[in-house]
Amino acid sequence: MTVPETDAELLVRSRQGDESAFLLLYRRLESPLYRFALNMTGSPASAEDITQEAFLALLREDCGYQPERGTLSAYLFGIARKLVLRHQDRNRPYVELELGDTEWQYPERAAGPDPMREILEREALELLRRAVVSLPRRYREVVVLCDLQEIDYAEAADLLGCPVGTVRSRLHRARALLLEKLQPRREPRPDPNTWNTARSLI
Amino acid sequence: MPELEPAGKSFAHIRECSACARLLAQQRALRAGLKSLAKEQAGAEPPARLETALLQEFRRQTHAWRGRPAMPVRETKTAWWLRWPAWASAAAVTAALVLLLAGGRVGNKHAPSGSTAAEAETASYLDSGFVPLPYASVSSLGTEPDLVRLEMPRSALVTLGVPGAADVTGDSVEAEVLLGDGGVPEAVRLVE
Ligand SMILES: [Zn+2]
Repeated sequence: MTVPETDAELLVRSRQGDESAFLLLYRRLESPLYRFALNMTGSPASAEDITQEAFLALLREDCGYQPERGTLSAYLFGIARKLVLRHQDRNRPYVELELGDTEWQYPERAAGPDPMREILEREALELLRRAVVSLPRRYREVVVLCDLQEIDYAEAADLLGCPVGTVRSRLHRARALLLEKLQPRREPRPDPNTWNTARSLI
Repeated sequence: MPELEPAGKSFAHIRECSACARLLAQQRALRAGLKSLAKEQAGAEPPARLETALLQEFRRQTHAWRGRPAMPVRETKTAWWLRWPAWASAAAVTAALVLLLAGGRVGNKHAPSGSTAAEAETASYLDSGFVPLPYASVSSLGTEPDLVRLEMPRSALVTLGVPGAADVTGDSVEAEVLLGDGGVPEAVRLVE
């Protein structure tokens, strides 16, 4: 058995014109990259564009990938993040998330053949999805990678080019922001003291 | 997600304080919701047409490289592949050592002089399956590169990305090496 080639080795072969190497590389890395773009933009069309552009960047003459500076995944994600930013600039003015008065309550135990319940769950998930997309970018990135794509902190830190501690603190803040967004506005919030007590429980 | 279960004293507090109980419930709900979203999008894949489009673009580009021979691998100093990591240079050094130890000149092909002719000559070498070694510079190939044929560790060729090397069985393979000025190995290819 031969040892599987690394992503960097496949890139070398791709750039020498080896189509099968390029295809293999694409199939290895496409899914997480596409999902990231999809979750970040909320748009399948944009996700497709971003994925395509990121892979094409690998073939360009000025491709600046340096293996000693990081993984190829991280390099690709770096390109995708820039493209997400460009996507947002194009889609300004940024539409503020309007959740209205809908109460967001996700049942802890899902499933069951109750159709009404399923509809409510659908709606709750849709609200949550929109809340994620409306997060500021640096918070959205960690929620997308760690919570939605279930990538561990260390790998997320690698992909985002930041320390693991930053991933943790951003994630903590991101989840608090999500809860704020999902609370109907008329609801009274717990006062700061009770918040602190609750936070200390986590 | 962090563990949200309160313990001991905190649990007693949660039972008495509706604000904290509510917050805890919301956090649990958020956790469950995010998990559901994760599960829902776990199967999301880009459409198949994306792969097709990328392959088309790949072919178009590699075609362009052939039109402008060796573009992706012939730039000096700043070429991306020249900044290749330690593993590549280690392999190249291994290859160079093997080559130098093996020695022996086989054939001495003379080409027309002049830099354009040299470039064309080099391009034709690179086009015919030679992979430049990481430290190689096109100019040092000159107009009269020597060609040597010798046994090399298969792993070194695989590491250098020599086409076909990965498919060969056995630990050593027969390779052809282009020697530049001063007999320095500059490019290598597999002998079919
Ligand atoms: Zn409390």
